[in-house]
Amino acid sequence: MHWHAPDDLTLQQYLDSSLGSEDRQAFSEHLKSCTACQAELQAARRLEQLSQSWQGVDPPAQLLVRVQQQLRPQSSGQGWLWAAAAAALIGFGLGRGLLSRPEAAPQLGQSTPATYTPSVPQQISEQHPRMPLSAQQIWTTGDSPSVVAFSGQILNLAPRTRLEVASQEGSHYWLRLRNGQVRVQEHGQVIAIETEHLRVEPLGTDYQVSLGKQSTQVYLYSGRVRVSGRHGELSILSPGQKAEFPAPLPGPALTQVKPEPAAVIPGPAYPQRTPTPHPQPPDLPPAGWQPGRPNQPWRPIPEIQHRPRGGPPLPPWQRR
Amino acid sequence: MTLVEVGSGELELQFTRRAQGGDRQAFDWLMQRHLKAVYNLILRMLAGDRETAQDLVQDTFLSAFRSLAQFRRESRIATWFHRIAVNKVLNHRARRKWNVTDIDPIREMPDSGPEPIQQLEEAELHRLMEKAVAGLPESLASVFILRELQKKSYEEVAEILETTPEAVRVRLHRAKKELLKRLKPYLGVNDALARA
Repeated sequence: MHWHAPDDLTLQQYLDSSLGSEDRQAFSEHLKSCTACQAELQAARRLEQLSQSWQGVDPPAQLLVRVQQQLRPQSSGQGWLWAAAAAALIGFGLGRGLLSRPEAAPQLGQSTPATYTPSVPQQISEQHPRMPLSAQQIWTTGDSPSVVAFSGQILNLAPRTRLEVASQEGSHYWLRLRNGQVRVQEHGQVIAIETEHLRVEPLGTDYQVSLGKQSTQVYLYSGRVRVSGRHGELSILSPGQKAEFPAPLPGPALTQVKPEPAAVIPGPAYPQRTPTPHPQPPDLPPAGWQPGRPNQPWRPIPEIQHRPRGGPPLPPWQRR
Repeated sequence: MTLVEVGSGELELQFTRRAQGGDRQAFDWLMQRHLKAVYNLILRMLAGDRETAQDLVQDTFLSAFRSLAQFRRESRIATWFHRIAVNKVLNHRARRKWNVTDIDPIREMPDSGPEPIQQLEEAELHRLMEKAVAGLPESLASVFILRELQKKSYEEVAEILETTPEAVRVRLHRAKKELLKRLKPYLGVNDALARA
């Protein structure tokens, strides 16, 4: 057999020693006089050496612990989920009221009060803490933006925004953005924002969700958020990043997707309120403060100083 | 050097049986043994996106644990873990509708012309190789990672990717061809030969 040009497959087989003896001998003869094939062979051998010496990276030390923590309760069935959520409910939710009436809004810019439709659920079963609420809280804004404080969070509502409390699990709330734009500055409990198409779960952070006709956009100013779509796709944003979900897609609504209960996801990827991995802005609650502790009421945030660095520009209604 | 130094297959089988019998410690042992390989497989397939890789590693072992009873021990448990991991990555990619951190791997390569091989550290070459692998179509990348980086047999790779060893050979060949095309300037091929 004769080779007139480098033949990749033959070369690979030659390297693998999988060429038949006759072909191997013929190729060896060819190599002596073909510098092109020699160069190919040399490069392929070098790649092989590189592959041989590649050792990969060690996984982060906490990854094993994180997976083990996730696995641990499952060996005794699913009861752990409710137990953990119930614990969170007692530890965080009850002291502050399960769905307490929104606190007095700090004045920010020229905001006007959002129309608030109060409706306090009578009971939330500790056995099923992620149950949809029997009634909903709804905030709507007219032509002006509005700021509300809700369970220690600051919600900046753009004009013509409609935001609803969709459900709650322990200290975690799922708010449904029906229209407009909301920016969440998180300082205590966990609030996730859902739209028809995606869910944004904060990981100790300051983020914004905008519902547009063409797309839904998520901006992250600080901290981290986990963005998941209704089909389960997932991204974790870092500060200054934006995720854009282009257009509504057919398929089941997000609410039909069983959520991963945020309260029971252990590990540093999810917010552990103490200690926080992020530098604390000056207006955080005093050290040792925990949501739900009656002797240390939430200290309202007088003014929000934070501005994104390198992130998206603030909308006009949020500029001061 | 292999990523996972698998000792006695019998020992692993014994732990697999125990894990299937509900022994959590046995499952932990298996997981610990294969964590690095699974993590690196996912990490490389995701072009170095560590956050997502960690999430998918977690998903992989959770899924494995949940469906441990379905594992029929016809292959090594490592093969099974890897298959779940590959599926997690493929599902993740298929479902993901937006890109946040994806970077074109080749675009990040030095654009000022190749440096002499002597000046490129081995670690740098590994980095370039990882980036080039990340730029491959995933059907080629997965084969290259499993076969060349993780040193699995053709049969094992075929089992993980649910294909045939022949198909693995073909894909590996295409993967190497692509990689060589991209990496050749950095691989220190003799100038005289390269010009030929």
